[in-house]
Amino acid sequence: VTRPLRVAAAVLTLGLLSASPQGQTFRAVIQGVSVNVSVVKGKEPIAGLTDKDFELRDNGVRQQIAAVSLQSVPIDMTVVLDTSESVEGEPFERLKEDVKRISANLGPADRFRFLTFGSTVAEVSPMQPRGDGVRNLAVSTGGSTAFYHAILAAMLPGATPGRPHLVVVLSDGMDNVSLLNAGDLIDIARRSDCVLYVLLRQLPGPTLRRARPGSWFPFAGNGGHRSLIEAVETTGGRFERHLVSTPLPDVLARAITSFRESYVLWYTPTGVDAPGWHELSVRVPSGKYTIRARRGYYSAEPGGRGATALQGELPRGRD
Amino acid sequence: MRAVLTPFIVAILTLCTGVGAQDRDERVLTRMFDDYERGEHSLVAASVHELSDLRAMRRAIERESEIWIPQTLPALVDRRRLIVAAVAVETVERNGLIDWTAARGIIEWSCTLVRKNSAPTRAERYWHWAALALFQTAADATAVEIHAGHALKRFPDEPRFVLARAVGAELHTWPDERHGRSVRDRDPSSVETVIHSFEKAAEHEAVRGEANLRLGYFYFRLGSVPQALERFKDAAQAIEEPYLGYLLGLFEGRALERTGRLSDATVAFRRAAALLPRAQTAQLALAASLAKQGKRQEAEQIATASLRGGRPAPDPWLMYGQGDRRLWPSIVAGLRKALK
Repeated sequence: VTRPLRVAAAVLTLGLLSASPQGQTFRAVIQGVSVNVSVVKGKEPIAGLTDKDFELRDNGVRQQIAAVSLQSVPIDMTVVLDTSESVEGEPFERLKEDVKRISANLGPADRFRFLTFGSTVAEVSPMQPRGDGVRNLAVSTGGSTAFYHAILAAMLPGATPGRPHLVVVLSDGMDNVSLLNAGDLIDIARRSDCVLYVLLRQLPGPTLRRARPGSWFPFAGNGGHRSLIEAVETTGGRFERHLVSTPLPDVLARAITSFRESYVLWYTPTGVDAPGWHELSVRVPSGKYTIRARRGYYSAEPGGRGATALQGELPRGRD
Repeated sequence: MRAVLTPFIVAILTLCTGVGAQDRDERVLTRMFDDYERGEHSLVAASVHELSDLRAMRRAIERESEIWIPQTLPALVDRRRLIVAAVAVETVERNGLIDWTAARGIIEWSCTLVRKNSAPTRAERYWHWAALALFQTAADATAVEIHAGHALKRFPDEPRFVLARAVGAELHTWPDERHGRSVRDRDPSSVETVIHSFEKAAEHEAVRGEANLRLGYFYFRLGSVPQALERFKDAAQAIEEPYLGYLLGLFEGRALERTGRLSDATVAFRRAAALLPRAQTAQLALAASLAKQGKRQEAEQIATASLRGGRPAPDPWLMYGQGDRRLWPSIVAGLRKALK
């Protein structure tokens, strides 16, 4: 066991500390997988669900859920802000307001990492307590738009155990220089343990950019963002597109709340020993809810053991 | 009475100011020509900011060159034409190509001027190369193609000009659509032109590596991955310049990924990243390649390091379409030396 939890739906070795009737403490070990699940009806998160309410399938095989917790834990958030030439003016001011609103929803125990991107991606502040990270919004605009490179760079770092990692990307989404593309993001999303939330702010009207003299763009258009949406949904995240003029305080607050207050389902994979990609599906048959969860996880060895194992405790929260 | 006179006064003042600016531009240009002729290139560079703008400069350079060029021995007139043209391209470059219409007009006028010379010289070759580098920097496909034609008339089969013509043809095919139609679907007539142009360029040893690299990437854009890999193999045997080696690693890595050879792709990306460690695209491509193979820890380290440490180095990928832009300093140095 060399690394902490690397994928939200990672393979886990859980060390459970319990007290015996004789007062001795012993250790129980469960090999398992955890899956973060957000259950929402309309705009409201649904509380009070138990393991019996969920139906979870791993590669199509129904699994026995060992435990369910509704967590409200400190989170790590990476905000990725587009500073390219295409967002100059009103869009950039809106995006900066969005960053402030997002950071206002962070608690004292939460941490914040701040990346910006134009032609290249830069880390303005590393993951650190919230107060230090959000002060530094004195960034200027310019350059072309390495949107996919920025998302990739934000998704690669692994989550710290016990701290879910939310990556929030604020951009117009008009990538024109990244050599990597949304198809690469899908591959990375399958192996990442972050939840990706992409919020696009766009001006009304045509969105194609043409290079001005002295600059050259290899790409134009976005193909409707189909692959990007697939990458987002692979992580159990959200994709939203709004006009620049739309104020979004509720949307941003809701996104963070529903991320913070999500269920964690624990199970030991049974009947699904194949290594590689494990497709997950989660349902709550008892009601018509919107459910967001990772679409799967990678397992390097039969039963998922070995690749991303760790020792940890079941998260404490409202059961 | 005052209301009647005011427009006249404004018009006269404007005219005087305009005439004043015109006189100043002409004086500055004469000084720049003289300084360039004496080899005082830093003085020429320092004078650029004294010119009002490129549109005014275009008018002034036409008038002033007519006076300055003949004021020498007949044997030196050709050299003086090239000096005027050299001042023109260096000034345009220093202005940053912001007013491209005016900039393009000045370069085209200069081209007409140098082609009046009796015999092509080494200096003229450098001048055409400089002009082509500027047209490529502006990503002006039509201008590149037209000017490559002019240059090739004066210097038939000059490898850099043959390659420039191919880059011009390729420039017409950008940008690509993300997850959309390929070049072949968008502009089928251009495909054969681009392939043929790069094949002709690849016949010249001096540019064989770059021509094959670009042709390989064009094949990759068309979805012809095996042909792309063949061309990359040919390019690898001829490329020595780190800038091109970086692009080769990057493109070869992408093509290998497309064929499912992930570990070979990682090797190619690693090679590119080692050549120019501060250029970000190869670092992120390498990180992504490692992550896809489950090597998350190394991927994370590489990606995070590429975001830190201040401004990344110029990335050849971000200038790929701009051809010889990267060579501007050496082209200008060659031009100055040839005109000494």
